Amino acid sequence: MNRIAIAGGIGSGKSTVLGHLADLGYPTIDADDISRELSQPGQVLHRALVDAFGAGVLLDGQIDRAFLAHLVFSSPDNLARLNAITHPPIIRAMRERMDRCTARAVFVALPLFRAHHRDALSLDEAWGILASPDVALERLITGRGMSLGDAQARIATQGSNGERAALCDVVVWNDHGPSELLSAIDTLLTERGL
Amino acid sequence: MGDFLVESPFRPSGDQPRAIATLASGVNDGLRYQTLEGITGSGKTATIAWLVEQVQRPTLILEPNKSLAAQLASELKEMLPSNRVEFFVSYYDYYQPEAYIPRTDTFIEKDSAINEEIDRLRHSATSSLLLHRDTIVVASVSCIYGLGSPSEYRDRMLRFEKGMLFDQRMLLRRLVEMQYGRNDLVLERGTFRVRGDTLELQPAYSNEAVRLSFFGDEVEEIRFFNPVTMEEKGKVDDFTLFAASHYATGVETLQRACRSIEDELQVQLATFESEGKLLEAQRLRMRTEHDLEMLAETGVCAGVENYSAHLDGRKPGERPFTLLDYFPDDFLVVIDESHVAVPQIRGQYAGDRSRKMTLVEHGFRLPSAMDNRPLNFDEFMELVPQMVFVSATPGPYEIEHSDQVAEQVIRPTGLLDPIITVVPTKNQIDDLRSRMDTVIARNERVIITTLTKRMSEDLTNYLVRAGYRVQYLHSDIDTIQRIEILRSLRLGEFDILIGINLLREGLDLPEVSMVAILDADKEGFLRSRSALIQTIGRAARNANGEAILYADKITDSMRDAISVTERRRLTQIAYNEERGITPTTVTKNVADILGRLRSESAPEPTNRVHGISSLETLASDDLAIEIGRVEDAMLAAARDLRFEEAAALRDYLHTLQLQGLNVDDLRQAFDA
Repeated sequence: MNRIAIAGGIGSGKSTVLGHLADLGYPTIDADDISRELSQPGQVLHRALVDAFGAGVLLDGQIDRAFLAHLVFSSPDNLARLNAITHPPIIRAMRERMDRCTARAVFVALPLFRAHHRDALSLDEAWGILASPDVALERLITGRGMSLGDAQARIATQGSNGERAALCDVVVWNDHGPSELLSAIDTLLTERGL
Repeated sequence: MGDFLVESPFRPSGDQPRAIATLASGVNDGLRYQTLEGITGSGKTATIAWLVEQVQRPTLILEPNKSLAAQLASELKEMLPSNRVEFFVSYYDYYQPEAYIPRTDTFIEKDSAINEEIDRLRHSATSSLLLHRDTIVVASVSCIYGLGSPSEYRDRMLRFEKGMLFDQRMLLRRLVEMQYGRNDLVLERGTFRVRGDTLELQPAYSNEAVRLSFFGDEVEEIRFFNPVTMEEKGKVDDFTLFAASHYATGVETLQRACRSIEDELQVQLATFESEGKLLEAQRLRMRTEHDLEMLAETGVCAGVENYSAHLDGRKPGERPFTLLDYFPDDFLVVIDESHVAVPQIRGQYAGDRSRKMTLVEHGFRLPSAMDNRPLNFDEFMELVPQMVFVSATPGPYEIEHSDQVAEQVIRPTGLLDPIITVVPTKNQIDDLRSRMDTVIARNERVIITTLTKRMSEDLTNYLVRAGYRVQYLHSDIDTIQRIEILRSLRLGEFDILIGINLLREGLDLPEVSMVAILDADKEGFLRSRSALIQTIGRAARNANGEAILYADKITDSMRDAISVTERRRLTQIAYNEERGITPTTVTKNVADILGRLRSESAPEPTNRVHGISSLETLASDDLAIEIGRVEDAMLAAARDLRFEEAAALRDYLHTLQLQGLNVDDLRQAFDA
């Protein structure tokens, strides 16, 4: 079984790619979905976050993701602390789900791909989906209705395209719309006989 | 009649245009309450000026203390040079009012040295309001205290036009009724003199005098002149004179008032006597009879405002007339620093009432003196047709009542709100040290706030032993020392300032790039939402600004403070990105701060430009701010009925005022 990471920052088109792969019948796992699941009341992240920050991170009993976003946008220390709390359980859960898969290939989407994820998830390959900052910005504003400042800050916290490209085996640029992006993905699949 | 017209080298920038447009349309649409949520340094004063220009409404601006009022008034005057910007504070803002402490049998008289200038400015404010629509009055909370009735005041006004006929004897009697005194030797405020066919008089509210030349009974010429230098100031065709006292009343009113005061006196004396309070009865009889005599003879007496219910013909309990009654019906009220001012307005009535109660019980005043009182909060709110609250951290009252909130979070300098990092308390001092090392290595300064005196002392001692250059700014440090300490911090003579309540203004130092808040998660006054936002803001003058919150959990206040600050930061980043602005720390010469304090003849700051650079000049008003702080303490003491302490603070205030910014500065600013 091929274990392939789809690495891409916010607004890169990573989700579009994952949706396409799911449509083709591949099992897909999205780190964001896992994070959301594990943040439900009673789940491991919910407990860990309340332990670390107190009830202030809750809104009506749910983890307040908008507040967490505010907390970590500007402060690298806050971000590092949050990641240290949330990443290990998320990676563990992803690993368990991948291990249960029996298909020819499984794809995992990671917004913050790091070198140590290769071992932790026993990855065979990492495909980086990259978009120029201007394009990503445009997508966040028009596609998700974010304010300019919000969008800029989010992109800024996610590291540069250069760093991301250096970590990946394959880089797909997504500056020209979904059809070009998906045909590039299809080519990659064909090349690998998937 | 002039329109409000802003004259400024600047145009609205950042998010000012939107804030102005929002508030202006709100006013024009008749919204009752609006809020301008604006950060320090975003040009709120300029926004207010432009708002007034947009809506063309007579405006009352309420400031929480006299120093801020003076500062705002002089800034507005610069922006609206052709309009009337008036300043209305009371001697009550300087001194504590009369009080009696039964336990020690101490009667503290109201400071009788009523500041001449304050009095003139008050008259100037009321007369402008009655004559000119383009009037802004910047006032302290004293504007909700009793003032003579505006209709009496208006009835007492006297209009002169070229060609009008006056019987000279009648005219002089009229002037006396208006509380002008005849003094043929010296012409000063509130007096007149007659020389042959000319009548010279100096209005109570003016530094200029007027000369009326008569041809027989006919007014031939009206000319202004400087009563000191006798320099001529030019001719006018007409001139309106207002009474020299806000309690000027006609003969009939006065007689009626004296009769009802007499009646009340008899009733109260009978009550005292039946209770066996003979000392009180004696006291009251002496004082009231003396006052009645003065009233009958001169139309005025010391503390005349205590008889305002009789003079105005108000029923017991009925609200007094205040400055608000002098405004036209469609006026606008702006409450600046509303998170402080709103609770302050709320507090006036109760404090005044318990003080008066003691005076009445012990025979210092008649019961009707209790009707010479501030408006209670509901009366105040009812009198104000439309209101704009202004604050960086609007309180719950403002937010709840506002029909809309306009935001102003952009600084023209491009400086951002600080980055906030939350750090667990385990090993917090080690963490603090390593962060401070980084900051100090960049030649920047650190402010640390603790929750207790003990913690401040321990931390100071610890850091000193560890080789840091630290100062502890505690509450016993007097103002001058405090300014010295802030100066050495700026100069880099030490790196770390530790204190408990560092919320006060004047601590916005550009060299400070890190604010550490210990026990950030201990909910309470010093760690409330607005206290946190304001404390975090102490690092907003440096491009590397950051706030470290030491806490094991995130409280609701922290959560709000983090969200608000972060949201503002994002807006600021977006604005900078759009305009290609790189935020840079504006380092002002340290000497400038103390310049006003040191130099004997304090020069007007030449770099004061409204709106944009007022942010940079704020630091130079440290002394003014200190005066404001002492005043706040004094008023708080008076409110809490700690009158001896208030009197001590009042004396201290005198010394402070002599040192630098005082009423003379105001005079200069207003005569400029």
